[in-house]
Amino acid sequence: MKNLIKLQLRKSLLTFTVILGAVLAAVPLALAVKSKAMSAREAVNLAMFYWAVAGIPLVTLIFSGIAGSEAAKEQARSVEQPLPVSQYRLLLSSLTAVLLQLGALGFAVAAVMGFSLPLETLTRIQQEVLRFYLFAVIYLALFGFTLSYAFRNGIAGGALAIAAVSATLFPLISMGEFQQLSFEIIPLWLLKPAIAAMALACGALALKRLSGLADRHVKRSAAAVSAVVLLLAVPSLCSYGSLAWFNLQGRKVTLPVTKGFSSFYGIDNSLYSSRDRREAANRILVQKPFSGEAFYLDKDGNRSVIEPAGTEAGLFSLPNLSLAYGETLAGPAGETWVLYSRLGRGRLLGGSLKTGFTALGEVGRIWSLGLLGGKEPGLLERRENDYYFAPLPPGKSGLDWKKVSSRTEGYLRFLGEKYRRDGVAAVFGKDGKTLEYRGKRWTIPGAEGRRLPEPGLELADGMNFFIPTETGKDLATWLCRPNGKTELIWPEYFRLMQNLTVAPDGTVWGKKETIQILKFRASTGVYSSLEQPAPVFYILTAEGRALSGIKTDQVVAKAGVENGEIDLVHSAGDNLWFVSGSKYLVRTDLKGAGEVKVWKLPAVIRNRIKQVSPSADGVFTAAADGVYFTDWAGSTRKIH
Amino acid sequence: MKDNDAVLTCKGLVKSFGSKMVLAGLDLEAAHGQVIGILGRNGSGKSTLFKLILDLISADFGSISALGLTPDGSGRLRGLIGYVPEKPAFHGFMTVADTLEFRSSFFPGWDKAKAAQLCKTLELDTKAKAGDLSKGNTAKLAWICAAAFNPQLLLLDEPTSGLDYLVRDHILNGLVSELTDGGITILISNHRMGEVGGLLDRVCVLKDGRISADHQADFIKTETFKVSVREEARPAEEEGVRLISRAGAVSELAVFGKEKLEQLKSSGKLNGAEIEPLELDAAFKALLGE
Repeated sequence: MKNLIKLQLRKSLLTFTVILGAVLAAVPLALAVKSKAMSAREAVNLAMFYWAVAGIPLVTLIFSGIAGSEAAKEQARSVEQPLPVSQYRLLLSSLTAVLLQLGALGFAVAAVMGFSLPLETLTRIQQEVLRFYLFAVIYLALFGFTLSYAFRNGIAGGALAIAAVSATLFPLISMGEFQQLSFEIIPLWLLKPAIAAMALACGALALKRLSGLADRHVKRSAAAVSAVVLLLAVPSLCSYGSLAWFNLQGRKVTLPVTKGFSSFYGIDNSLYSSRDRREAANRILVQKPFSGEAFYLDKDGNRSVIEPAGTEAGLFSLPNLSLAYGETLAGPAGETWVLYSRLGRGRLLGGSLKTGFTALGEVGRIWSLGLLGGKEPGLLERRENDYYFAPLPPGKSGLDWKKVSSRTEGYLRFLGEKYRRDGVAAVFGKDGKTLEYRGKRWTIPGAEGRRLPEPGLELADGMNFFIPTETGKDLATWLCRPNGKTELIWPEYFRLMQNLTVAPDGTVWGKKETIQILKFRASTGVYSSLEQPAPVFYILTAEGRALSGIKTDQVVAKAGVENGEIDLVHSAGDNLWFVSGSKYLVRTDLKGAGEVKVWKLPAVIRNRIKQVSPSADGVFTAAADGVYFTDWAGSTRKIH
Repeated sequence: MKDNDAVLTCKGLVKSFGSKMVLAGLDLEAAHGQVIGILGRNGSGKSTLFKLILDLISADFGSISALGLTPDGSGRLRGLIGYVPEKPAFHGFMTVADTLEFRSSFFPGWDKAKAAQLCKTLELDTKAKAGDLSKGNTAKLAWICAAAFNPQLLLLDEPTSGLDYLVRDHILNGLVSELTDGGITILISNHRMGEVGGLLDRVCVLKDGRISADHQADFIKTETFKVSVREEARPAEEEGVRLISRAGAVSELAVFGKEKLEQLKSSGKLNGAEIEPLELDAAFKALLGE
């Protein structure tokens, strides 16, 4: 084989030398024509980059086209075929020579570039293309050679090779981009290398069969010719088959619609009545990102569409993904307001699950808007210099915006006043330690009262206020209960709208994430990571029991997930329910220990978090193949 | 012939190219040391037969066994069989010496001394580029390549086609004679079988895709007769009797075998006929039915 490869290299020496010369000539040429703003290194790198991106694929077609068509010619047959090696080995030696020459050219280009990419950052598409580059060049060489040999014509073979390689790569690269976005909805980690290996194997096998038909004149039958055609088409068919599978699976994918990003700090509509809180959480706003559909869904599967699906893309179309963002507010009169945005088009909608939703107008970018609940629900908007508020529902002429403060003044005073008007905020007395709310007073040792109204939380027993204090190194969170008692509940600093979360059932919790600890080991001379302790929770249960420093080591031990997070979603009686990394629902006792019961939740899109939304009766999971509801007993049912 | 004597056995070979069937159930055996002439008209399938034996193409049906191997597409058979094609070709950028060196790496039995000696004998300049060689010198190089690894079976496909008399003589009377003396088995296809007639042990006629006649060479040399007879008395063509020519009132017949000749004589069909031995070339022509 070595002698055959040397022979083939010798045969194409002139072509190779000319092209290598062209690569090297590009260096002085780039220096000669470069602009003044460009450094010599940049100019040379740019020239080499173009060689890598366009030149080498083109040269691949030239080399493989010439070698393939030459191998099919009578001259090569009469000179080389009498040698005591199989005709297929002769073809492989020719193909190997092509690949070696391409490798040498690639090495030359890379060497001139200093073996590093001249790009600082790559887009996702560029990263995918780069991943496939080596495979694409080999694939192009193999198919260019094979098809040029089959048609005895380098141009026809090259053109068909481009078509075959493009048909295989476009779906793979396109799907790969979504894979990077954690939308690995089919096992692309396996399919991509499998299709790549299959493409090379099928090309080599097709070449062998073609050698049989063309050189050895094996009896030609429709089946034999069809087998060759099929072998050449299999990689593209598999690639498009994967795309169809991806699209089919993509149609099932659901994600919760969330705000994503908010310009406002301090807005928490869960402060209001427990009825509103439960009402807002007992349905989930879901989107199907590959079709553009968005809808509300309750635990019984009742559905109300916010945005209908777009025209469904064909099975073999390149996937199209658009994410929707939104926010829901349950108003005091049972109405539901929705801020919703997709493809940069923000809309305000109103309605209910039973009656459906009506668009109330366009609102621009929803990131600069916030829904405010309470007795007078409305929209707060941040504009270039000022903050504006518009009450809901909109009037006949639309939203009635009124300036509430300037940008420099901030919106927190307006927000505090609104909370106070809505009856969910107390105020500190002049001593800064006495909190007053509707005639009730609580004294908090060490408190330094704020000038702004202090929001509280309406729980089953009435209004509760969480007041954090900081005295030297001593941190504490005090609970002002509706019965007038003041209680130090947690030796940590927690505040509503800041680092406390309110579950739909009224459970209030905060957690302390521990930081990673690095320890230097003198024996190895490297820093190593110590085992990261699990988060510690501080909880006020729905029944008003304050729990402090609840460890979740056992939750992590039984349902630990990488890159995941643990949220408390429910408390009842002597139990707590956690969701771990959108993968598990976990029940523990009030100490986070005892009998730890773990239920696996339906599979969500890989590595995505916040896919599970708690309600008062269980959790919704926007999963990879639909929406599920899991109750507190761990029973799961598909609701869409 | 005993099976274990057979260097080459072809059984029921069928080969078609598209709708054209070139070989239609060909059977052929060659014993160790035999020199067999394959006689056939253009397109009769001689080259196809050689390519099948060399495992260059595959048979549609039938089997081949040569030197204990069967064709399997691997090319191993070509490492054991010497082959001089009708139109030899070499890489033009290589010199004769390069060509021989290159080929030597593929044939385990390559004898470099023998190759060098043959170049000397055939007066072939080893420094000359293959692309610059004349037709005669290209043929010489092909002969050297076929003989230098001491094959036990040699296939010569129109080996003297296009060669001038001197080169032909050089090769046939020198090289082939030497090879036949060495006990090598040779299959020769040649239009002008007369020029190699003296070397042959057997002559096989390839017609309609089969071996239609298979004669010992001695039989052709000593038992073929030219019979000149008056047209009205001419016996009909039959097995062993072929019409060679017809000129006016006289026809010339080829009669194969003394037995047949005696049979015709005794039947009175050759009364007044002139009988003489048939020249070798004419005998081959008659066999071909030309």
